[in-house]
Amino acid sequence: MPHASHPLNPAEPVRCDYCELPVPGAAQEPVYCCSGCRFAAAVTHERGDVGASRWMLTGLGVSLFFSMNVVMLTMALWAYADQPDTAFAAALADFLRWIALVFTIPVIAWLGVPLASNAFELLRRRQLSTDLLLLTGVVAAFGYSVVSTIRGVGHIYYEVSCVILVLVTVGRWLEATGRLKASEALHALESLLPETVHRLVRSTLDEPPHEVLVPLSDVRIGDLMRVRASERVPVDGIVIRGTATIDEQFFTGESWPAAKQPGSTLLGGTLNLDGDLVVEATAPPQQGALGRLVEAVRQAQSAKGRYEQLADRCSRVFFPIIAVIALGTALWHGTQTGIEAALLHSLAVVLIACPCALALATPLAVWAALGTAARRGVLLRGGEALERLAGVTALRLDKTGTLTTGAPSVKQFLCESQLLRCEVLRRAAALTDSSTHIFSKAIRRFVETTEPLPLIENVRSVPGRGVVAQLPGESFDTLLGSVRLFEERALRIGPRLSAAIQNLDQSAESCVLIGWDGEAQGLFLLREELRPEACQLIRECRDLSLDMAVLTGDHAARGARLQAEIGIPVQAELLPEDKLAAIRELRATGVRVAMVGDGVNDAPALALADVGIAMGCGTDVTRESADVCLIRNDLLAIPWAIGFSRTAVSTIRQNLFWSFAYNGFGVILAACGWMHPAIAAALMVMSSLMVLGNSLRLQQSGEVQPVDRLTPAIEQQRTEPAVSEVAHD
Amino acid sequence: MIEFPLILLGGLLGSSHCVGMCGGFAMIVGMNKPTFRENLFAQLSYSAGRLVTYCTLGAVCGYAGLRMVKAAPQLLNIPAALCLLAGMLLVVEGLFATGLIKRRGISMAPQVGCMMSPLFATMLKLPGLQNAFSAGLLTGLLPCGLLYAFLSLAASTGDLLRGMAVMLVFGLGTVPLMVATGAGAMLLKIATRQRLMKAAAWCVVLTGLLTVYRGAAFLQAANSPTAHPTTAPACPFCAATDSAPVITK
Repeated sequence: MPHASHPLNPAEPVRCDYCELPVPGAAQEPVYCCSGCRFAAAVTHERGDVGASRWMLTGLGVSLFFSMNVVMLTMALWAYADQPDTAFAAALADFLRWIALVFTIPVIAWLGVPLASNAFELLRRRQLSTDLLLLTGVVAAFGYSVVSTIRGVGHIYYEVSCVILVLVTVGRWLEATGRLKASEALHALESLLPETVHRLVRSTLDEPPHEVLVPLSDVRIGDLMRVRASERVPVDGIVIRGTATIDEQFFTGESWPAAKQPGSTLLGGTLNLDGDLVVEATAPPQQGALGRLVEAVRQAQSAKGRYEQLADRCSRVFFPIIAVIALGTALWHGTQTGIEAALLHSLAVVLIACPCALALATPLAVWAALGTAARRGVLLRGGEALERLAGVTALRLDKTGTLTTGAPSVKQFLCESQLLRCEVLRRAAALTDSSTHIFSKAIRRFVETTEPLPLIENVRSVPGRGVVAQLPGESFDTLLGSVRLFEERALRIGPRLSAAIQNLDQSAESCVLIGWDGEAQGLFLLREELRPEACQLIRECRDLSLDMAVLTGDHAARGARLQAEIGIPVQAELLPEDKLAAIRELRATGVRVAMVGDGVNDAPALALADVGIAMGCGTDVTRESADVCLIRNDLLAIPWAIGFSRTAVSTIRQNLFWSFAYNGFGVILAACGWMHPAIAAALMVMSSLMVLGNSLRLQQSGEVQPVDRLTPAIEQQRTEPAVSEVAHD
Repeated sequence: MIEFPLILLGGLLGSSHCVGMCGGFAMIVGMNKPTFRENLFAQLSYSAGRLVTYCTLGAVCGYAGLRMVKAAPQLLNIPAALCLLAGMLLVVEGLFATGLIKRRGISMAPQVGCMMSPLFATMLKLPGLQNAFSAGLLTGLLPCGLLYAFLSLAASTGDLLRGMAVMLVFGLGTVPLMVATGAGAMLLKIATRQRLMKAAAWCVVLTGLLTVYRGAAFLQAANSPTAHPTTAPACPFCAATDSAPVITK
């Protein structure tokens, strides 16, 4: 399975200076992918010569005006002096021809010259282009008309030259703008980083540091910066001074902000809600979490999918085929009806076959889709990943860390004697306070006391069993740990707690006992929690008619319980090899399967599946090699991504179908001589616009606010508080 | 042709629709003009640009109508069909404007429009009358239901110059209010404007109904062999007074 290369790869593809699409070869500066981008850059970019830009615009306006007049003049010629049978009509015809010639010259000069220079530049690079064919046609039509005008007989085709030049220029320009719009979503991500930074500079050691406003790109590792309330953190860093709450929703999906104090790490692009911070940069701006994400999307955009390769192959053979068809058309009509027909019809063939729509069809849709997905917190590794994700029919989920939060929480607390309840909790808090074990953390969270805790001494942790410590002034140990620890140390377990332990095996929960002085006093029941949005995930995936199952290494009893809870099959007690085998079997039956995991212990399964989806890549997307990385731990991003990729792929198919059909039919019509070149030029612009508009719609369908999607899940969690009690009975 | 005053009125009053759609462009054109005089010239160039586009489109449609009349077999009454089409478009567009019927959202149009915007915006903001004129030329090409309705009316004339005349008259009708808007002199109060808008909408509907009626008259004329419409006079301008289509031999 090909994956995108490392984002920090120095051999980066050359990008068009205007629309940022990758350009093959060519390393000169600035690089444009087409004459449209060159024109658009000249017109709209502030960089470069202002005068030249105005000259271009004036040229386009004047050409438009003259072209309109030429169209009217030639139409008047056809309408009123087509077959001049009176002296007046003949004089009128002559007059109209000459005026049309005069009006055509500025158009040729203004718009023909850039087209010609583009064509010749490509020719110098040994590339034959449709521009060259078009230019030949325009020049030939103009030349023929000039001869007709001077001789006073014969048809004129000034309007053909003018309309083609205007439409080709405007059409190319529109395409360039469309491509620029396609990368809008990515620019929106980049704009999360402020452009300027308040850097703290200390001129001498005694003086207090003062602030200097510098551009973001000047920030180096170790620089100190000031980040005020409601400003965005410019780079990844650590807090040196001050406290604040930071909105990290883009990375973590947490809708409530995180509290930061000195020593906390900050991510570039997050929002400082209320504090005044001094931050030390730990990464250069482009290599922070956000920078790496943007870079990864860029990389993905140059990784070509199946459809893109198809379009590429077609484009490569396109030019020779069209040249041959145009030549054939010219020869056939030339021998049948004359040089005029040969010229017009072959020109129409070139125009209608101009592969703009075909060349745009896939990259534009992929480009728009990847950018939009990144904004929604989904990183797709290229067009191929997008295509494969769209074709997925089965979904396999890992349990721990994927469906569940990965950290257990206390569901129930029992005391042998209610009188000792406070003492039990106090001791539990003291013993768990310094431990990093997930059970300890859960218990510490559960106790939630702010009272000063008794100091403990002589702390010994017993691997796989628990922790033992002494409180000051006591001769006996206080124990916190598993039933086995208590059995080994021969502590008595009272009837109330024994009954609870008896029930425990059935309910598939973990239990932690606490006791001292020879007797167990309290019991914590811990359970791994499903993510609040898990049920909605199942519902939404069912709507996508996906075959779902959970693969877990957990005990069968817990698996059965999970199955009852979420209503999809759970295959339990699977070793990592078994997970691989399950996916391999599924793939052997022809099912396209996506595997969702946290990317740490199930990486092989992710790699084996048709599409691997890694959860919570958040701060470092380069760490994962999965096809799809979810920036946030938001399960709902999975059905969204699958639905979105299906939309995107159907957009690509529509685009390809439309451009193939259009080019195919158009060429046949034009070769038969049933299409006027001016109409062919208009159709060419229309078809490009269709493809552009269709692709850009993807950006709209991707606009879902993550906040809105999170809120119902949180509420759902709040309305289901009593699950554990009910299940316990 | 009986509709010319009505077309002018349709343009004049329908320009409250134009002000709604394209008035913003006119204002941008006028934005960084220091004096009223300069602004007025810029506005006039802008409107002149629109007029040129309208005339060209009118001429093209008129010519297309002529070609259709020539190309279509006798049994298909092209002028009548075009008249009926134009009339119906005008009625529908008018009813949209009155607010009696609601428009369905068209997903594609705004995006395509947006792609034009960088070019367009640059042109609008640049100083120089020629750029205001170019912006006007482009404005005339923006998709607009009212414009299309009048263009099909132009096509139904079946003559290049008459098609052009229809669009010229329509365009002239839109000039006063657009220039006034752009020149920053919105003399009319909002209430008055709303009343004008309503009146304009009904004016468009009325033009449409008359056009439909004309189409029906063509159909009838073609069906009764005794009352065959006479051939039009040679001069296309004089033909403007005649309500019959140009029948070319």
